[in-house]
Amino acid sequence: MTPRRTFLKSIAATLAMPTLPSLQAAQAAKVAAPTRMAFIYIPNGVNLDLWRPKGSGKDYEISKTLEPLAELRDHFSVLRGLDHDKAFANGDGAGDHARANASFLTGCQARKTAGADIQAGESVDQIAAKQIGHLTRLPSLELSTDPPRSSGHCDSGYSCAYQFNLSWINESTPAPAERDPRLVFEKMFGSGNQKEDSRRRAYRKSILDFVMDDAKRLQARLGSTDRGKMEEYLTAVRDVELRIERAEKFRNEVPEESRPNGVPESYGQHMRMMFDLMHLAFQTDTTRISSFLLAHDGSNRTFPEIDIHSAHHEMSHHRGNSESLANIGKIDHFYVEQLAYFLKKMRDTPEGEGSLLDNSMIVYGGGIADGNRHNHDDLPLLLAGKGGGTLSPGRVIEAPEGTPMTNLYLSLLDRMGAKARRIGDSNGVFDKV
Amino acid sequence: MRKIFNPLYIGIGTICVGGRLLAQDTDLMEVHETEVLPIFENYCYDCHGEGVKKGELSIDRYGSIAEMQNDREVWKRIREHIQHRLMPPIDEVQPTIAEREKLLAWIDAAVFPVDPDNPDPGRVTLRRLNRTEYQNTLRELLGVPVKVVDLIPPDDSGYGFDNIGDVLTLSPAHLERYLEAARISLDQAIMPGSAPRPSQSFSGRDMEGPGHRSEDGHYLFTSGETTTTYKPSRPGKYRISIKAGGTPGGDADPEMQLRIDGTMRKTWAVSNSLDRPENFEHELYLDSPRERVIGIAFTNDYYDEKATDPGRRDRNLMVNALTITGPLDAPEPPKSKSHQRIFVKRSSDESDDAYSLRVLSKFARKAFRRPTREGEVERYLQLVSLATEQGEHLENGIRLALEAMLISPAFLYREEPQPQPDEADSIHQIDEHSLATRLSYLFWSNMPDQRLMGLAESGKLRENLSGEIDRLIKDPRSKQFVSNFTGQWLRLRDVAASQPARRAFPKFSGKIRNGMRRETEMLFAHIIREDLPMTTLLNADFTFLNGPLAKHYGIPGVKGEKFRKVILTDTHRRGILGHGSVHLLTSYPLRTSPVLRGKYVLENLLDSAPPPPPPNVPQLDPPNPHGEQRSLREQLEKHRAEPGCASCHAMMDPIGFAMENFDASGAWRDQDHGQPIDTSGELMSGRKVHGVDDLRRALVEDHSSDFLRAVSSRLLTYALGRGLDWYDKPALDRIVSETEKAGGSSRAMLRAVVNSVPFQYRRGDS
Repeated sequence: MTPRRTFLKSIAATLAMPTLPSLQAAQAAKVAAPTRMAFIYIPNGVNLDLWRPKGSGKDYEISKTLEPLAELRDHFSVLRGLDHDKAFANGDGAGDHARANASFLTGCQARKTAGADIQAGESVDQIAAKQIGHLTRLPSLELSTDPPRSSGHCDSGYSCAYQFNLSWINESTPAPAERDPRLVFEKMFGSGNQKEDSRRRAYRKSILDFVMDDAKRLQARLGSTDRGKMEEYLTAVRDVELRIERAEKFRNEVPEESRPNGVPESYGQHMRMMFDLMHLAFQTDTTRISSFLLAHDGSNRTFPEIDIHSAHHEMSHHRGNSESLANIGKIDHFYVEQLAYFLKKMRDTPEGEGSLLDNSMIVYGGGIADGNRHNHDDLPLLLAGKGGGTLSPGRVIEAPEGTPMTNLYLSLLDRMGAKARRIGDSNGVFDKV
Repeated sequence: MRKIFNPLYIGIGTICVGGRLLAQDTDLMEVHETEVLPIFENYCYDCHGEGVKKGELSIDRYGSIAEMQNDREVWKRIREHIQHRLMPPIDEVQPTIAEREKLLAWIDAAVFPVDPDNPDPGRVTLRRLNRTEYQNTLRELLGVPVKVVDLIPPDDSGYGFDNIGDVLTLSPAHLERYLEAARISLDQAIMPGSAPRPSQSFSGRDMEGPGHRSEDGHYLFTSGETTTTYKPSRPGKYRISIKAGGTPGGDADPEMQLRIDGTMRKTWAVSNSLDRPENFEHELYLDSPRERVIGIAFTNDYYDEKATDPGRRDRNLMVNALTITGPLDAPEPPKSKSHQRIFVKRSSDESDDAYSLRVLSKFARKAFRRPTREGEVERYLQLVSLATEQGEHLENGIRLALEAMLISPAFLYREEPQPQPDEADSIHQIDEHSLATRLSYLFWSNMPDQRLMGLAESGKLRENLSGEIDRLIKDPRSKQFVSNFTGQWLRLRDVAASQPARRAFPKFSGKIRNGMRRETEMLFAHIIREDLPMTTLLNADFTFLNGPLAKHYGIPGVKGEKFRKVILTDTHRRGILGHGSVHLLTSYPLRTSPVLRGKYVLENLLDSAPPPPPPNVPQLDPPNPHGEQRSLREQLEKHRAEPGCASCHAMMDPIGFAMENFDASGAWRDQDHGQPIDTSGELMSGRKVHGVDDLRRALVEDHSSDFLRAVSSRLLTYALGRGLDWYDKPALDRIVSETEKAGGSSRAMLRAVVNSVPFQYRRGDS
């Protein structure tokens, strides 16, 4: 038990902190801008006819759904032919929504269980966070605009953990996403009272050190499954300790003017506010990695803002019905509008020689292609940004048939400077992006 | 309706299982050869035997019963397909009902054998408090109404509930928020160090004087004074704190003066900007309790629109707020009750350590819900001295230790100590403290109270169990059980998110919707508190309504916002099938869904959830070139003609159609789109029903035992915090039979759950 030692160490760290301006100067002096990576998820598949552009390569004709992105044409590519095979049943029966959600960033077949032994896989963002997360205040940022969860009945025998989490720290522990913009802001910048935050952090480190011992004592009394639970706790303790150290190390000027108040009424506003925060996080280099669940797969949200009063998931089983299909197209368009808002903001933020968007890789899309067929091949996907000059956007990119989505992820990880031999079902690297 | 079987409850029928395990196996193998195998060969082997393995399944690859038992997950699916008549496909030759039952009975006896005399209690994974329990527990422990539930990341659920140990994972994000929640809660509950002095605050926008007032405060853009009046409670020292910011102009910052009754008392140069207001403080003596005019003046206005630096053209002052604290020299006011409860009175000769230990021991016993272990609390003294060595007040040191206790695993997790935790055969009764905790989280979603702890302490809880169950249910805290259990079992938590479309149901409102959830909760609460038969939920001839909801239902004579018990002379609304909550949950925004309604009833009320639709469901209704609209019933009837869909939809749809008189907003209707509503149908049993009254009668007359099983299994899941498995069959059988023996009494069922083997015992891990 060493709380005293750590405490003194962290107090010392506080005192030794450079003043803010010199810190900023140091940051500005950094040579190359870092590369950022984000994954944005849309649920329930799309109206493919309205989504898919005509033509290929650079000379394609933008589709109706993607129109809001027309002026950003040079900044993104439309991806064709990427699959999530592990979202298919593969003998597990119904539950395409749960699987689509769970496999999207993991490429793993979610174990079909209502709870006893949940298992997906480590997600691409968390793989990156583990390797380069120490370079920023937050290793990664998980966002969601889903409404608060309710009764806990999810897809066909799958635990709700699969359907509400994109990011997985390891195969059995999801990284929950934050939906309240105010709390996201506090996570990024603290309460606004730097001195008090610092004092608190010093004490927290001591508390964590202390309870770590408690946990180890408890662990010794438990059976194997329960020891695993305590291991999860211990991992969290160690991780939070690192977070506290990083918060001391990377103290940003707090952009008070951007501090949000809470969850706004309208869905569009909520999404834009979260996008603002993601933008702010990237701009201030608070994190370089983010995932954003716009809504979980199977979401039955209605969209009064665009005059759609039927439930999304129900409609997505469109059975070829033209009214449903038109409405799905409207919803897809609405989501793309929010993306366009975000990408424009990123493009209009200068950084180094180019823009923040130039230094980013933004994956946007969903784990179901057509909501009626529940198919998980040739998924609706976009890839925006130039990845620090390593991506060449502005095209329709066709992957060879049967290319796992995870092959793309491997290539993105490489561009982030993170190493991985495999992610889920990857069988190579898809780098022609 | 044909008796709906549940995987866990098939009787063993004609097969005799007796004697020792080996003998039993031999008997079973014999039955297999002579009676079971021929059925499999006849109906299944075309696709799943003799080298053919459609869907990766071959039934003849098992050489012994042990091999089958090693592959229980597969056998659960085989069983489900036989039970729900999903297999053989409907266009193949079908086994008779007797043959199906023989298969099911044999599978149960051979692959899923249970021994009621030697039951397996199963094993509950170490449970973290979910966020509801966590908040309730903090409230109880600290005695203040903290609100931290939105701070903690949402809990994932499994088996329909959010208190399942396996699924309650803990991420770093959780832990960070637990730290934050502990801090916020302690801030609210205790006041370490000196007690705060009375203080009065004035917002700048409420102050008098020239300038511009806004949300932010009082803005002085020309020299002038903003004022308010203040009456000190008695002569003494007071602290005046002004929160202000400004814009510089020319070569100076704005100057701010504090004036009392027009006399200048203090001057500051305000150098911080408008968006970063700071506090400017001054202490002074007020010699009598008469009212004073407190003024804050801006004295050096400057404006030059041609100044080269645009940031220095206009000098202004913003007064955001004014706070006056005091008297500072009076004796300390008493601290809050919650503070005093934790920081017990200190005796004059008590050392710092002795006092700290006493405070922390008392807190730890409650927080950890058990006696403290040797040396456990002493260790926390290290944290106390850590803070006091930094010059902090002793109470701040104790507070640091309290914060640590609130994120300690002993608080966040519900440990249930057991000898030999890794011996699968080692079965032990849980100790009385664990039992007290299981009880209090079951009925209150909260920590055990003093009485439960006291009984456990003296080892008398088990002998007083029956009385304690009554007491826990009678206590107002059981509201938590009602709302958390029905909120998830009957999905009432989802009611708030149901959105009947405004354009179709203009009269529907959020108020009515909330009332619907309330109605069902109140009925359930009434049943368990008054110990009515559980089946009252299906056929109560009363309900709970307020004015708006009664009006929505078309029930006259109920006025006002207050909910009250209403006797239902009209039969349609009797029981939960007539509740708007259920209608909303089983509708889409614009229309009802007979399928969802049927599924809801089967799944939640009859414990007979039909399996999810097979993958690649054929299109329900191909686009119609002539634009003719088929009615929902026609579409579904067509759907049922598909072999892959027929068996389940034949179970679900007739139930839903019988409820079609309730529209998507839960209101009664006789017509749909101008067409009369056809509520007729034939249940699987062959019983014909026509409307909701018939359906209700069918449920009560033919299926009350299925219903009791449904409630019992959900209750047991909720109570244990784990999913049920095949080995829980004897426990469930017993709960149902004891309930039936007591005339369906809801209290008997709750008692039987608490007395059940899995609730009272745990075994080691395998």
